[in-house]
Amino acid sequence: MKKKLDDIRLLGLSASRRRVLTAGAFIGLSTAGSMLLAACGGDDDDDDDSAADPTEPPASGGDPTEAEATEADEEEEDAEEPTAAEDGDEEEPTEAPESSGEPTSLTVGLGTEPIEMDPHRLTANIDRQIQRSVFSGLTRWDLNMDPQPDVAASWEVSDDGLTWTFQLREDVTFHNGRGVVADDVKFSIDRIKEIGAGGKYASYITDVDSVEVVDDYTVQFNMVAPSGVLLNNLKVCSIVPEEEADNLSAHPVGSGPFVFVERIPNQHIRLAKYEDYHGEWVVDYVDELTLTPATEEQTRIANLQTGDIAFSLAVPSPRIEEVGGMDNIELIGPTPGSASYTWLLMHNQRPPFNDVNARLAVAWGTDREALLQAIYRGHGEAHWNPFPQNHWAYAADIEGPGYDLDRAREYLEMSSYDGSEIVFKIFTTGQWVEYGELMHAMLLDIGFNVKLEQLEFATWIEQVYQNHDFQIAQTSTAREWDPDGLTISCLSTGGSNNPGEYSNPEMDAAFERGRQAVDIEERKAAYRVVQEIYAREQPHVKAVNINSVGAYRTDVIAEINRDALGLTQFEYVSLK
Amino acid sequence: MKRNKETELAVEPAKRLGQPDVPAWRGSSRLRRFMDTWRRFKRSRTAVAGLVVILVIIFMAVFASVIAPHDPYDPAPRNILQSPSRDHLMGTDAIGRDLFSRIIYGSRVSLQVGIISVGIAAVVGVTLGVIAAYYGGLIDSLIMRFLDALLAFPAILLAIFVMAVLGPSIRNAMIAIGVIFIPAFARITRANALSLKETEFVEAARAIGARDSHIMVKTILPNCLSPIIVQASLGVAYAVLVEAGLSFLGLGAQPPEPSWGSILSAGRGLMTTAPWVATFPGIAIFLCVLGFNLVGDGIREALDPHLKNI
Repeated sequence: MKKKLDDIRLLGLSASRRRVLTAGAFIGLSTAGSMLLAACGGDDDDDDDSAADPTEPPASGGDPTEAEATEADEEEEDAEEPTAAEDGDEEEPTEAPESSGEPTSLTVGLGTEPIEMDPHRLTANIDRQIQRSVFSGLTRWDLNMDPQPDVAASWEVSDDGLTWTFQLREDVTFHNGRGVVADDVKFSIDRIKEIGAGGKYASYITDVDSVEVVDDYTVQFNMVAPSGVLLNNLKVCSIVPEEEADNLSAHPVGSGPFVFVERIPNQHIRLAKYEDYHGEWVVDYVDELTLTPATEEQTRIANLQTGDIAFSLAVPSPRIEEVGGMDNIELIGPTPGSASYTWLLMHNQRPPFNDVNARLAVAWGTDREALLQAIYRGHGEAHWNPFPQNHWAYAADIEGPGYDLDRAREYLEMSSYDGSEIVFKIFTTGQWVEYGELMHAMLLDIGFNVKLEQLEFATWIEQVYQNHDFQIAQTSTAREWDPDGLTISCLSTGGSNNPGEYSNPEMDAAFERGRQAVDIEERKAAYRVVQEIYAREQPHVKAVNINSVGAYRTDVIAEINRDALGLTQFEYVSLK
Repeated sequence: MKRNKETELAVEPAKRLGQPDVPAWRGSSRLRRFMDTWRRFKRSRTAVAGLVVILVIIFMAVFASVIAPHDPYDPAPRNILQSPSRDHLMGTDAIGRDLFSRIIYGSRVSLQVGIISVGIAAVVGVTLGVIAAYYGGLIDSLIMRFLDALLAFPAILLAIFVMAVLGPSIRNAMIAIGVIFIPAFARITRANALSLKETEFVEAARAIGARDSHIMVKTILPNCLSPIIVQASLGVAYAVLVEAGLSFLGLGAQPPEPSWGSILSAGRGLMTTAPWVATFPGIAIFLCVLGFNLVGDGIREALDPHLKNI
């Protein structure tokens, strides 16, 4: 019965999404006042929180399954512990004009306007910045992108690996005041599965068969197969309150560190610190967080220079050196490495790219080094393999396509391509027009009859990612650092980031193995197969691993982080 | 045969400046009127300067493939953002294309859009204007109120709206810009036609039983051409500007098509590192718009009956 109700609600939501979005601004505005009041009140409590929080172990260690998912371990959380030390700063204001009691705010420049705020429906990478700040999941990221307990206090896994039992924390509340219980977890996982390819995360939990509520604070995951990556993948499965689910696109309500206050499209998204946040705040200085999408790169950099924004999430590659040399501004790269790369999507089920030879022609005719140098000024790696070269699963010895125009033309000759016109869809933000023009020239060089079509980013997302209505399109992607998150959704059959509808049972089986294996060597072997198949089939053509950087003002921000996806966890940011 | 001779002759005197009233071409009144206008037009130095600019741009557009030293579409990723040099007179852009060649080819887009969109606007606007004036009453009200509604929108906004409906491309940019110019042409034509309608020669035409269409096309229209010509030449200037604006916003010429507006747009992010990418298309737009404006002003003065006998 309940399931049926959800169905209806979800249908209603998808049908009226546009309306909901437009209504969002009004709702946001009307609630803004009350939210602000709530956010600004009771500063005295903060001190209690911060005193209490660091004593809480960041990881409920000793759990065997914990270690499984964190193979990429460098020395982790210890580095992020100096909470107490930072607290000391607050007492003696060195140069910061504001006194300790005053609410502090941080304004951040985003490279693109977020599109979707519903954490289960989002597609664009930038949307995840909102997701991370407003929502929480059973597990969360630490600064190395490894999973740590969040809403789940602890977990157990059965001997056969098919049953996971999570014990929830009892002090977690949604921003509407209601406590988070096991029902919410079940509702959220079911909702992600129902939304399926309409969102980004369904492929992350394909191995979850069902979720059972044991009691209010115990939830049981029944698995299709054992999983070595469940904890990692649960990070992105945000827990949402059922009563707010219809309106999450316009007004996200979660249990994360920041409360959504208002959104004025193309101007800003305002978030306020959540006073009852259950997790640890490394430093609780940021009371208000304003995310301003300054899609105009010059504006963003000028704003950073003048101090209108204290942190720019992205700096355009051509200006990295220039920005790095500015006064009071420091660059920050991705940790532990960049998992964002550019690629050329091709529709694997439609002519001409249903023919592997046509795809190989593109792969061999893509001058990756030229793209890297011209567009990214060398800040990155030009390589065919979607795994970054410093990734533990990267297989260096596999031969993949390089740049060889003659060979590309040979493949084109062998393919069934008949010279008909192909539409190449690009979007207009940042340097993407130039990237597209360069790529377009390369495709023409190979011998494709291609026409460029530039679309506004949101339209592009709708056409390419949601409707799969394209032949060839350029995009970049930012994924999890774990190889499962890094590639599965793009390469598995029906994957939620696989608009080209590539499907290969052999590839799927490799992913299955990689997901189930616990031993790192076993996993490496599985992802080696993935890379081998990728090299010879080229479901899409990966071009450049982008070493994207952000920049922040050193006179405002003391400590900041930026992960492999180019996003930040603002609860760990401390101001001066 | 005789006409041919006349036109041949007509070219000659045009070169012999400052020699009015050569008897050989006195015969045709239309030709004489044109030469009169030309005589007054060339008296204005600024107008002639404008004409020269336009002619240069037209020459560039027509012979783009001959003049351009490089392929405007061919990127050279290892040769990006070169400053102006002998090989690249205006430097290269962000993916290494020769800017000079792109700006030469860009003149095609600008002129094409400028002239065709004004052509669309003139044809539709003049037709509507004459019809509205000639028939009056309900037809007049309907047409003019509709055009007033069009006029109520800011031009660029209306163009963006049309582009949003039709989708971005040069062809649609022409249509969009054409649409925004219709009211101007219609109003000017209507105002003139209204007064012409009451003149004796129109009445005479009606009296001998000429059809409405004949009166409108053969009697009224030729007599309100001068303001339309002025409006058209000024309109081209504005259309070039609007096209640059639309392309700047990504709604006009689609990449990799070189359009001054889109080159400028791509260059604005490089102002600190490669100022030439934004500067040269800016100068090109400036000169082109200035040229058409000066010529428009020149024609207006030349056609102004108050100045006729100076």
